[in-house]
Amino acid sequence: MRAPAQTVPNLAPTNTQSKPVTRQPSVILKEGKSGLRFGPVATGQVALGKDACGY
Amino acid sequence: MLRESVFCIKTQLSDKSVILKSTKTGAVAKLSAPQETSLQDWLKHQNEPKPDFIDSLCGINEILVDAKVDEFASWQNELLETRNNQAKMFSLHLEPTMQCQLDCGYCVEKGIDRGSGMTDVVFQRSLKWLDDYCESNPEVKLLRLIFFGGEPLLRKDIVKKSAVIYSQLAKRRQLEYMTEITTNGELLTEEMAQFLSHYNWRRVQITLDGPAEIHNARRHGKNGRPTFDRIWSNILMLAHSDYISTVDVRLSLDNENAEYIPRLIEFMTKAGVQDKIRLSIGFTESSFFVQIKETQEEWQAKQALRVWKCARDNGFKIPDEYTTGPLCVAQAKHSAVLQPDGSLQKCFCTSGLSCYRFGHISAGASGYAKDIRYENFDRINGCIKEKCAYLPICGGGCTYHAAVENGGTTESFSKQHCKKVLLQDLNDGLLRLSYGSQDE
Repeated sequence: MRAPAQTVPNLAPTNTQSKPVTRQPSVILKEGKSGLRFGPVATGQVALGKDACGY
Repeated sequence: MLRESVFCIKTQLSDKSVILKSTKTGAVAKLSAPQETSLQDWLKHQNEPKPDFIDSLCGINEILVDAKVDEFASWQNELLETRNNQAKMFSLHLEPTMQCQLDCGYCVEKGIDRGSGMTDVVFQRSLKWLDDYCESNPEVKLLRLIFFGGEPLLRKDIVKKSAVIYSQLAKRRQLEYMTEITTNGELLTEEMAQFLSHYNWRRVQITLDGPAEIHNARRHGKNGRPTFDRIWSNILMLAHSDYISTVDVRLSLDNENAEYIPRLIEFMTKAGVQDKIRLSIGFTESSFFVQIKETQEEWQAKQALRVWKCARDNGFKIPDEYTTGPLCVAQAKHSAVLQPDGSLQKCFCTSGLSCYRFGHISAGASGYAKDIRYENFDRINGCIKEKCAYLPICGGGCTYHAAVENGGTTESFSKQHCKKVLLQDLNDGLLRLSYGSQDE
């Protein structure tokens, strides 16, 4: 099971169910993306506010 | 069997917790010191019970990966496949003129023949060329028109008719369309902003070099005419209106102005428009005609982090990573810089230098916008050989600066432009600033 997407540090969600479930503590602060992240000029996504030459 | 990805970088925070980041996927994880210890122990003894956080580091996050996978080969294949077979956007930098009313000492275009502006004949031919290009390359689904120069707003007539007619062309060809502009900002009036906002205006980039007296000493008009007040007034106009969602303010940084940038950020903070301004840092580097006093990468990273800390502490959004690639607009399959005389280049940094043309609109458009100098993807083999973890956010570094450093020959474009120390130090610091405590 994969941790839910998060963008800020978070604690593991509180389990309010009566039946114990195994839920991993979240260590993921930012979820990864598949494919080239910085292939914006190749994939159709626009890179905005990038460093280097600005593109 | 799992192992840490070759693209995993780590930063230890002051409380001994560890940030792990995949430069490939962008995933970021934070492990406490005991978790980090248990991770390392488990990686050595994978037949033992698995810590419960392990699974979240795998899968799409790719902080941990299958030990058998050749990640570099896989990434290289993905880079080429994406670049060559999945390109959907055509980025067209349109340069209405190479003239500029500013006289910045470090300008990459200093020393070129600035000639005269684009004529109507060239403009009309460019439409036919673009139409043919779209016909020849049906995979293009998005036209991204970026006004560049020189100062593009010296020729508002061309900017306006281009936005109108190019967007019509895109519509006729059922392409998405967007407008961007890189401008010094001095001539960006509200009337112009209002006009651009009707043409899916997605980006404006304006450079500031420091507080007024520093900016005016570096980015002045002819005869030293100050420019800061007008430019800042125009930035505020954009920030206080809805013509565009965000104003990209570029901060040039070198050893002559670095110490003053935090004062500029404090000045901007007083206007209370942090939510509308997106900052980026551009390290001033040598061009073919201008020698910039070289600064060490460690120094650049240190200064940039000082700026980012100041920005964060004053309420500006800051990035959590510094990237220089892996694909720039010049290396993209569908990209071109259309110069005022109708000649075509791949990189806007070589504007005005005829030896870097790859074509001319009058020759028509068959195939894609190809210049072999920007297609030497073997230049990353050295990065792979040294197993560089930063490859997915670098791609071998800037091709143009590699050419400048190595004489500008065709061969020089195939060299790496390695900034590993800068990437290492700056990314380490940005992870601290973004995910550590305020004291990091």
